Amino acid sequence: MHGVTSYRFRRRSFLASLGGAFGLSTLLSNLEASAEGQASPPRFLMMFWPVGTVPSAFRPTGEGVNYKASPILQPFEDAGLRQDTIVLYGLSDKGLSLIGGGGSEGGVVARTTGASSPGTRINGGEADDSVAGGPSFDQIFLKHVARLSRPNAVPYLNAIGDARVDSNEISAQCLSYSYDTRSIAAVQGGSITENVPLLPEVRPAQLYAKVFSGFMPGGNSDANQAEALRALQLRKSVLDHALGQLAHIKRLAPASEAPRIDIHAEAIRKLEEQLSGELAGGMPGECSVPVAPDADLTALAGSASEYGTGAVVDDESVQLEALGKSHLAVIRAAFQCDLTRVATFQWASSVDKVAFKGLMPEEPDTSYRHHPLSHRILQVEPAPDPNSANGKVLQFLANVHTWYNKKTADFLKTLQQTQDVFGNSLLSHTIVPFVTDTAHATHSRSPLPTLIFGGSALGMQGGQYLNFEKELRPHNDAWLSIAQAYLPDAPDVVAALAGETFAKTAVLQQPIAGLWRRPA
Amino acid sequence: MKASLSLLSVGALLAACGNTASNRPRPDMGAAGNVSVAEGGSGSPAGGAGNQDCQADLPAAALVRLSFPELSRSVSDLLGEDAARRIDEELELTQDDGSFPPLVSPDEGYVVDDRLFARGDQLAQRASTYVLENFEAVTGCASDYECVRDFVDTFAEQAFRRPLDEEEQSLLDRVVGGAEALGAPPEQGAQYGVYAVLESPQFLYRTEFGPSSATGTQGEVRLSDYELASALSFFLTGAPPDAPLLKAAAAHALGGSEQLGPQVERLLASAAAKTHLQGALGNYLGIYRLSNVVIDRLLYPSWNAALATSMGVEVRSLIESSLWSGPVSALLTSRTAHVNESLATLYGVAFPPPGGGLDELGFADVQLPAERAGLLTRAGLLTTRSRPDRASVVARGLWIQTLICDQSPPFPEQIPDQSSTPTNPDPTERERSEFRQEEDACKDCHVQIDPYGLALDEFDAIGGYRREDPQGRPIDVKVTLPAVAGGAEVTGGAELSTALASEVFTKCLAQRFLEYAAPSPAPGSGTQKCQAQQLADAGELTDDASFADVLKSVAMSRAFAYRQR
Repeated sequence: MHGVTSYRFRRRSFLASLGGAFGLSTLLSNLEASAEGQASPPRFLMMFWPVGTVPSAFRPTGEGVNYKASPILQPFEDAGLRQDTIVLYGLSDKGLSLIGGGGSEGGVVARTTGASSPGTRINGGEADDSVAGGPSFDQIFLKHVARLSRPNAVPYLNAIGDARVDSNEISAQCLSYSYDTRSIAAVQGGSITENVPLLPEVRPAQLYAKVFSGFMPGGNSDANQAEALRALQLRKSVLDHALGQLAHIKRLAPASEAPRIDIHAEAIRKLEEQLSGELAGGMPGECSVPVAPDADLTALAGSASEYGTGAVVDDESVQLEALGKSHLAVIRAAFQCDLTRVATFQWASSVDKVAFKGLMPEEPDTSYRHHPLSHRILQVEPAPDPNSANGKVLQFLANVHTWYNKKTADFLKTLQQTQDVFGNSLLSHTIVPFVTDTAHATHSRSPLPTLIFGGSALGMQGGQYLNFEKELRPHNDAWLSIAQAYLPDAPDVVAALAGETFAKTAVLQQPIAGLWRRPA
Repeated sequence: MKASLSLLSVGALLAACGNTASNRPRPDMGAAGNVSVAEGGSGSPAGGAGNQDCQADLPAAALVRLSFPELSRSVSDLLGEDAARRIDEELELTQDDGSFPPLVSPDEGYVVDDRLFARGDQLAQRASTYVLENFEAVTGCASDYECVRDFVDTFAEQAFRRPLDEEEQSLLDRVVGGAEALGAPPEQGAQYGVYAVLESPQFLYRTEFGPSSATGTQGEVRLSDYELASALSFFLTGAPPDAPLLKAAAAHALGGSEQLGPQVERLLASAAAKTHLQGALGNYLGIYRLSNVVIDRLLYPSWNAALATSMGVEVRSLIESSLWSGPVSALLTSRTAHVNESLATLYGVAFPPPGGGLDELGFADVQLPAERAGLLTRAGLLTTRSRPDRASVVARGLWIQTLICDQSPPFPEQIPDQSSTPTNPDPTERERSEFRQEEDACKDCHVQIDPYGLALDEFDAIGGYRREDPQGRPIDVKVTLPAVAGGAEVTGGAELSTALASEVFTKCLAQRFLEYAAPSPAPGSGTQKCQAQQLADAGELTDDASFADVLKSVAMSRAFAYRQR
């Protein structure tokens, strides 16, 4: 999609987007509660903000539990989230190589997979689109942590608030990468193996449809129930048919095509299993079905090589906020109803094109695009004179980071206040790492800021700030710290994950001491 | 690598290190046409592949996913334009994503993963809902399961672009039979039957396996007649095969060139082919980027959206007027331009031209000044290879490289710190290029890239002609072209264009369209390059070959019809 300059609100019925014409009606309310017991399950939500931070405005003063929040971190204090917040600074990509990858592009795959990238893909556009060299941590945790999977539910959700990129890059707009691999043509020549990107949804309504396809409005009469069940059975027969035809094609195809066919079959099978679960009454019980998102709300997407650093007309932050709220509301509801336990949400691509109004000092009526403006900066420390041109741009970047934190804090607050179907706070059982692609505007990938929210019931020790600027500790150590909470019974979490690609980097990796304590 | 290298001017540094792993200047790198630059043989001259290996070097037998625009046109054939338009509008299927070949954009992809499956599922749902809502008109049935079964069978044959085999038929019968057994009305039976057909891999892909007798074998196979019909039709028209082509496939009448040739010519003469192939060539050239390009209006006050649109109209007009008559290399030499007043001002030509001849949009044909010749010197395409504040030697050089199928060596794994930097704080573009061509980390690529960009540096960021740079220094546009482009000395864009208007350009175009014809996830192996060389060796790609000649050569080539199992 090119030439998109504003969010689109198109005429389209939401029912159609859900396959509502198939007559599905509310199934959930009569179905029995999950047979899994009453303990809240663990959950995982990886969140992402673009373009790093402005170090001088980010670093708290003091350390440990006695730190004083910086202006950029103040929104979490204001939302009463301090005890659910771990602030890390000074992490790095030490030990990783990202062959040919751009700072922002390679930064995303490095952050979420913790693995080196073997090269960049030919994508019809720019040459710096890093491929993933391993699965991302949402998928790693899904594989290793049995309780993050729920039978017959959606295994994971991925969403994005603004998907615009420079020129066809996938890495800039994708946090999640599968264990499935494939061979693709590399810019560097020849072929490379990439872990398949699990691209995010751009439409909240589509995200909603993925989770709540069985929650159709239309009453709960016997007739509706019967028709809904028949619709489910018919849809399942269509999927069975597609699987049968795919198996037929596979028998005729050369063996080299089998992996592609298998990925297609897996996509069908996931939906098929979900429908089977619904038909078997396997959905959980009491939870409030959220209002469907606006069907026409969709993230901007496509390529736009907008590196002009001048002012632009639109304030796109309003729409981004609406997108973010809408996506995150679906994720929260899916967590609450226990329809999924793993999700990723990316506020915007790592080459963030969103134009923010009024965040440039002394220019209340002007909008500037986030990532393009960062290209004006070649040096962040020592901090330039705040009244200089660079000083003002840095303040703009700090203000944008604060904006992302404010909106994230607003969401986390609702997560804190929402009870799941088992009566516990969602945030206390959900670990929310909040990561970014680069350290700051120069696009260096160290020293990185990272935040970890929630998970108190899983043993995460919020309310502290740790600075690793001197040693530039590998970012993977933050992931290992989180892994402890999901694998509390593993004698050695490093050994438990030793077979993973990220664990094979040259730098020794260990959980960061003090971030997790075994729950009582 | 950090970009805090204070000794060097920012512009020089960014240009010098255009390939660094971090903080690269985006506009310099984004040549849309560089989609296929990574095939084997780094740095080898275009067409330099050894011919001996070509006999064994065929594309692999494959499953080719249809792009969403191709699926949309298929739905149009199956259910009519009204249905397709409604579905397109809801799902945004036919938005031009500008990719070339068609599956490389993020919205497409070779593999049907969760996301692509969901999108295809939506298409199938909407199309089948259309059948439910327009049951009688679409199926011609009353409420009658026998009729519905016949309708679904016929629909499946059309959708699969060939007759169904026994197993396919049996699987499909189960869906419609299942609906009846569940007590669904016939209308719903038709709906779910159509849903099943459009969800089938036989609809979503076309196969390049060869005839069924080849299953389980290894070696070289010719596509089956129906496979060839589909491959030809999607290549040349972007749509499924029409009735005459399917009839020829059924009669096994797509065998030799005497049978295939007339079909190719028939398709090429159709309006659908012209629209489709002009669009494909436009995507190859990256015209779509005009809608997103950012230009600093303080530096270029005449720049605005209307001018960008006008530039797009002009380039498309050039393609349309040059493509179907005369040699395809005329795209690089034509001085006739279809412009409006704002473009005429930019080009420095009188407007309206003597004799008028304005069309309804206010455009008219004019002759451009001598410094311009063909596509490479048109404002629209130059603008898409510019930075917001200045022309880009590197981006324009990369673009020309892709147009002649040259390839730079691979990126270095690490770019060293730039310890030696030019002392001039504000170097000219030529000085910047000389710096790049001296640096160890940069020179292997930039000696091949920069000469083209330097020759085009007489055109500013929006394609206006200039003799001096913004600092008032004269611009030197004399260069020696790399050997791959003939090695001649040229001065400026017009001479560059003339030098490239040769077999090098035509052969590269054939290679690109071979890649376009068989979009494949297999990493580039040089197959298409090798096959294009074979066509050239056979005298089919001379510099006076027309676009239709090139396409016909591609469509009738061995690489098009044969696969390696």
